[in-house]
Amino acid sequence: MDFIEPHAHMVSRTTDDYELMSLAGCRAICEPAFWAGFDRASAQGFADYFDQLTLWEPRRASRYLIDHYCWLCINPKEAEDPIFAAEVMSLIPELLNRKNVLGIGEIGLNKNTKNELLVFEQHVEIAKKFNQLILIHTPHLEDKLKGTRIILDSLKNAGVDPNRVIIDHVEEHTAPLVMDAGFWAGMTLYPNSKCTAARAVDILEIYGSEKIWINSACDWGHSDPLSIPKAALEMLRRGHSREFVQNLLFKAPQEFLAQSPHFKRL
Amino acid sequence: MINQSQLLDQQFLEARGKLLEVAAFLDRFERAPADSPDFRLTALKEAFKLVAAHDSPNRARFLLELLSDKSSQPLEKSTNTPACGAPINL
Repeated sequence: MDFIEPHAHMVSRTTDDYELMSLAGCRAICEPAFWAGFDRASAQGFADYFDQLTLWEPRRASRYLIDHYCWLCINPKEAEDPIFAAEVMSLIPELLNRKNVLGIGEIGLNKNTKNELLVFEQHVEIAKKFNQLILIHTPHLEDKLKGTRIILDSLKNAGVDPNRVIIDHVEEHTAPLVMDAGFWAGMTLYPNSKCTAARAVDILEIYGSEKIWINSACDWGHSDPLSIPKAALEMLRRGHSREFVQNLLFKAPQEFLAQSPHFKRL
Repeated sequence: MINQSQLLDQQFLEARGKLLEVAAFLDRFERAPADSPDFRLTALKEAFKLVAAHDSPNRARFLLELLSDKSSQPLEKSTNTPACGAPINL
C-alpha cells in the first residue's frame, strides 16, 4: 500500500531503511531539521546540516524511488541561547528556495522555557514573512500538555492560518486541543513513548481522521521506519477499509504538503 | 469496526502480557535494595488507581493528564534534564 512518511530523520538511518521503506510502499519522505543527539558548536554546523538535508539526502532517497523533502529550523532543544539561535535562523531565508524545502520545522518547545518560546515565535515570524508552512514539535512526556497549551496560545496571538500548520506528536490528552483549534495534527509512533499504532488508531476512532497524519519520526533513537505500514495493518485488522487507510496515509498528507509549491503530488 | 468479542480475541493476550510486565516490574523494584522514595513510583501507583477506578473510555487521556506538569507559565531557564514521564508534584 502506498504511503507518505511525513516525519522521518533519515540522516540518522541506514540505506537499508530506505530500501525497506520503499519495498513497503513509501513514496515520499519529509525530514524536519532536528537535534543530532548533541548540541552543535557553531552555526556552521547547522549550515552543513542544512546542505545535507537539501542537497545530499534527496539523492540517497531517489535511489529507492522515494521523493525527499525537508523542513528547516534550529530545533527547540538547541534554542535556549537566543543569540546563537538568531545566528542559525539568519541562515534559513536564503535556503527556502531550494527545491525540496517545505517550510519551517520542527520548531516548538522542549522544556517549555521563556527562551525556547522566544525562538519559537521568531521562527513563526520567518514563516509568515516568507509564506512558509510550519511543522511543530510538542514536548516529551510530562511536558507535552503544558507545552502544547503554550504553543496554541502563541499561534493564536501570531494570527497564523491553522490550515498551514501541523502540530506533531499529539497523544490522547493533546489531540483534541490541537484539532479543536483547527490545526493539522500529527501522531508519532514510537515503541516506548508518544503513540503506539494501536493508540493512534484509537485516537482516529475517537476524534476523527480529518486533518491528521501518522508518522514514525524515526531517528537515531529507539524508533521504527516501518511503523506506518504497521499502523495500516492495525487499521485493517480492526475492520477499517483499504480506502480509509489509503486516504489517511497517502492522500491526506498530500493535501497539507501540496500547500508548498515545492511538493509534487503523487 | 470489529466488535468486543473480536477485539478480545485479537488483543486480550497482548494486554494481559503488558499488565503482567508491570506487575513483574513492581515485584523487581521491591526486591531491589531500598532507596529514598521516588516520585515516579508514586505516580505509577496513582496511575494504577486511576485506570482501575474509571469506567469511561477515556482512561488513556486521564492517565496522560495525571502524568503531566500542571503548571502553566514558561520556565525562566532550562533545567537541562530530560523528561522522565511523571511530574515531580502530582
